[in-house]
Parts: sequence; C-alpha cells; structure tokens
Amino acid sequence: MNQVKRVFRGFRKEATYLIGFYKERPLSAFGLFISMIFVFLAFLGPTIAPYNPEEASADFLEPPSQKHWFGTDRSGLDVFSRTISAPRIDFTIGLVATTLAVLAGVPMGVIAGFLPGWRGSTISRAFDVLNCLPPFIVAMCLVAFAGQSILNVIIVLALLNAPLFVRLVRSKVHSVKQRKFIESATCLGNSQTRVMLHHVLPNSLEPVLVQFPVNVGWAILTTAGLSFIGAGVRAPTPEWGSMISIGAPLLITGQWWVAIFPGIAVGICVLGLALFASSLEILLDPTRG
Amino acid sequence: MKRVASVVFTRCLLIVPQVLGLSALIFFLVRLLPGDPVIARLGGHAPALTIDNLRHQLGLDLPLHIQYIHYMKDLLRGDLGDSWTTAQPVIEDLKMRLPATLELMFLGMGIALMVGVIIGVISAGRPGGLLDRSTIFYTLLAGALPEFYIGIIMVFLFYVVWGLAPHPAGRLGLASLPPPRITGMYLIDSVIAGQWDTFRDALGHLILPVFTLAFWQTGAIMKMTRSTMLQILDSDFINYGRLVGLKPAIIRRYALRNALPPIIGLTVTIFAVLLGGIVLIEQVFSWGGLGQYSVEAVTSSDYEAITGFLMLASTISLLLFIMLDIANAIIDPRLEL
Repeated sequence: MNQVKRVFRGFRKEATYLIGFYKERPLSAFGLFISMIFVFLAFLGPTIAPYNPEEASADFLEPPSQKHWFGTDRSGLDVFSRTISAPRIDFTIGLVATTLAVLAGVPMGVIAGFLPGWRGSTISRAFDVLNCLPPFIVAMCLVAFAGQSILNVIIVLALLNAPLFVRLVRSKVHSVKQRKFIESATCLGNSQTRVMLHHVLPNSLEPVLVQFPVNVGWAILTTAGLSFIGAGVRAPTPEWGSMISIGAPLLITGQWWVAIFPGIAVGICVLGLALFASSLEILLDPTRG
Repeated sequence: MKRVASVVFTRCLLIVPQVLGLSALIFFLVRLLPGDPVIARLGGHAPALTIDNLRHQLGLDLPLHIQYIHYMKDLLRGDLGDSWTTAQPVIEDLKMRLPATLELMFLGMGIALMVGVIIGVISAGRPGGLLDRSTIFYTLLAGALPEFYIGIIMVFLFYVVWGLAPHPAGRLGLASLPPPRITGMYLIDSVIAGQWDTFRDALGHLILPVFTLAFWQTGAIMKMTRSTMLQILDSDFINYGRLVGLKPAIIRRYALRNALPPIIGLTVTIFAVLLGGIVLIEQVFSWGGLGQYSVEAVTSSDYEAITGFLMLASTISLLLFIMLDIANAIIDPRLEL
C-alpha cells in the first residue's frame, strides 16, 4: 500500500513539474495541445465527422457553407469530414513507420558505435552510401513497384528513416562511451554486453526521443507527397496529400477549398509535432533551455 | 598542402567502391522489386511467345548477377539502356531534361542561400528581437508545409487571384519557341541568341517554381546560420575581438567566415532531400525536367529510365559529399582526418 502511495506521489510531483514547465512556455504547450488533438482525431476522427468521408453525395463542388464547413469536392465528398478523418491514416503511418525505424535503427546504432575499430566504421561508411540515395524518389519507386498500400508506405518509410536513427545513436554512443561512469562500470567487472545494454544504451536514447516527433512529421509530409503524385494512398481513402492532389487542378478554376483546407491541416499537424519535439529537447536536457 | 593532397587522394580512392556499391544497390533495388518490366511493356494479354522473345531480347532471362555485369559494362561506355516510354536512350533523355532542373535548382537555392544567410546573420545579431522571432516563426512554418502545397498556394495567389504570373504549365508560354540549344537553360540560351522576348517569358515562368523552392529551403538555411552564428558570436576569439574594440561589422564578418562551413555542409547534405522536393515542385508546374521524368518513369514501370535517373542523382550526391570533405579540409585547418 505504501509502495502504491509513493509511486502515486512521485507521479503527482512529475505532473506538477510538467504543468509548470508547459505553463511557462506557451509555444511548447501549443505544440503539445496540437499533437494531442491529432492523436484524438486519429482515434475518433471518422466517428465524429458529420459525413461519411468515403461516401459520394450529390452536392458537387459546393463552396464552404453551414452545411459543408469546408465545402465539397468533385465527387461530392465533404472536405471537412475527410480532413478530420485523415489523421487516422496519416498519423498512423507516421507513428508506426517511425516506431519501426527506431526499433531497427537503435540496435544497429549501438552496435556500430560500440564496436571498436574498423568494424564500427565499416557500418558507418555503408550507411553513408545510403545517404546519397534521394529518399523521396526511392520511396516513390518502392511504393509504386511494390504496390500501393498503406502497409507498403509504412515499410518503405521505416526503411528510409532507420539510417537516421543509426547515425544519431552511433554518435551519441561514441560520446557516452568516453565518460567516466562507463569506465567505472567496466572496471567493476561488468561484461561488455551488460555495459552496453545497461549503461550506454539508456544514456544514448535522448536524441532518439527528441527526433521521434520530428520524424513522425517528416513521415506525414512524405506520405502526403507520395499520395500527391499518385504513388501513395489511393483516392477514396481520406489522406491529406491525395486530397490536395484532387484539389490542385480545381484551384485554377476557382474551387480553392478542396486543396487549401487539407494543406492547412498538414501544416498545423507537422508544426505541432515540431514544437512538441523542441519542448522535449528542453525537458530532457534542462541546461539547454 | 600535403594534408589536403592526402584528403583528395583517399577520398578519390574511396569513390570506386562507393560508386560500385551504389550502382549495385540501385540495380538490385529496382530489379528485385515485384512487377515485371516485360509485362508492363506488353500488357497482360500478350501471347507467351512474344513475352519470352522480348525477355530474351532484353537479356532479362539471364541470372541477375550476369544482368548486373552487362549493365555495368554498358554503363562504362556511357550507355544506360533505352527507355521504353520515350523510345530513346536513357542517357539522351537525362541530358535533355537535366538543364531544366538545374536552372530551377540553381536559382532557387541561390536565392535561398542569399536570403537565408543574410537574415540568419542579422537575426543572430539581436537574439529575441522582432526579426529574430519572426525568423523562428517562418522557419517553423516553412518546415511544416509540404513543398507542393507551397507551390499550389503560389499558383493560387499569383495566377488565379492576382493574375500576375503566367499560366503555370511548362517553361515557356505557347507563343514562344525555345531558343537554340546551347546549355539547355532557357535564360542563358535566350541571352546568347539575343531573343529578349523569350528571355522575359522564360523568366516569368521561372519565378513561381523558383520562389516555391526558395521559400521551402530558406527556413532550414536561416535556422542553421542563426544557430551557428549565435554559437560563434559567443566564442572566445569573438569576445577577444570585442574587447580589442573591433567594429561590429568586422566582428560579424569574422564570425560569418567561421559559420560558413556548416552552412555549406548543410546545402550539400540536403541535396538528396532537395531532389525529392524538386520532383514534387516540377509536378505542380509541369516543368518537364528530371523530376517529372522520374515520376513518369515510375508510373509507367520504365525500369531502365528509373535506374538511370537514380544512378545520376546519387552519383552527383556522392561527388558533392566528396567535394564537401575536400572543401572542409581546405577551410578548416584544425580538422583531423
């Protein structure tokens, strides 16, 4: 019982600290708030949408009105409903792809950073070659040839993201390895594996945590780009990039609402994630504030 | 000098395995993808005999590693195979479209670098000021918007609403003929030929895509310049300069010189990312450059074309990285190599 109380008190202390932290930084709070809204929409977006986001109706190309807040597109789909349903696709792709990239990249990075001499640097040089490939174009080829499905987009984005995490963790491991407490841990007779897993790894994760929301944003932007050129998520599925591509030709003829609103949604979402990421950076390293 | 020579030497030695690795990676990446180039070319209903014949003719019935050796042999002779959508050698296609993309890229990145560095330096001079805060806001905004969306907004505002820009399709209006081809970049060629109407037309068509590219990239450069400058302005040698009583303008110049390597480095490392953005921007403006070529190649399963494009893009990228290493060795004598 006491144990539970202590844990609870600990939580409350942390929570008070967090609330104070975000109260002092309105921009960071704004980022957190936006990120939470989009997580909420990813869960409930299609449920709270006033119209079915994939069901065509007879109201073609209506401008924004009381009935259709953001207007309707060529097939009579309600743009507002589609805009708030899209996070389920975009946010899920971003989250899952980035998580997979972290799961693949972090172990590689720890090994590459921990291995002494030429073995570590060979892994690094190999990944440097990967940097020369234009990521977006490779993603475009992979998704187009492997078949356009959400799963393929996720796998491809994870593959392209993993090298970044390898690099981040590797350079952090390099600097952590030099520190005194690692030397002490080795001197106390810990095995190399134990030093790596229990002492180096936990102290090397900070850049990964900061990078995580940034990369979710990047994945969302890339997904939108892929769908924009028709190599990502296919049309009736509500996805921001494909909505913009449906709306792009209509802009010229004056129906601006079809493309403009989903673009604003992407902007707000990625902006929120970036602000959240920079607040994490300060939270994890208060000296930087 | 000896140090620089040794950097040049080792980097040039490294090129060979790196190019080999890259070419193998790209070749197998494209070939191992599901999907069949022969079926893509003939359609699903072609008779089996025709399919087998074409497969044999293209050498696609050989084992993969033999195909790779054949490909590399052709590559050394400057032959990247034939594109089946344009029925031309891929190398010719690339040569024809490269100038359009380069023109866009040089102008866009030129503006981005100029504006980004200047504003970055000024806003680092007074951190927390109005300009500094708007810089941070702009950086966040430019990083959050997809590049093709910026392009669409530009088209909407400048063409649809205000009617200032020409119709956003292609590099020239319908009334103009391309100038005689020398460099392939319309601005330069029309000046050489003395066709000022064409020059004006080409410039008008360049403005929106160039500004889209610049708007998208300036943020990153500004942010980099600002943070590097802040760091350097806080360093010992600048403080010493201040104590000695150097003018702020001179101090800024010293600081900027020291801030340049990371800025140049950033420009090089974003090259690969930049290409992806150019693909999308070209798509918005029907630019007809390499970016659009690659999209067409992908959507029509044109394997030779896409392999050729990736080879070109990644080799340029690799060469830029090597030049960066050499430049850093020259600029920064402290660098350990």
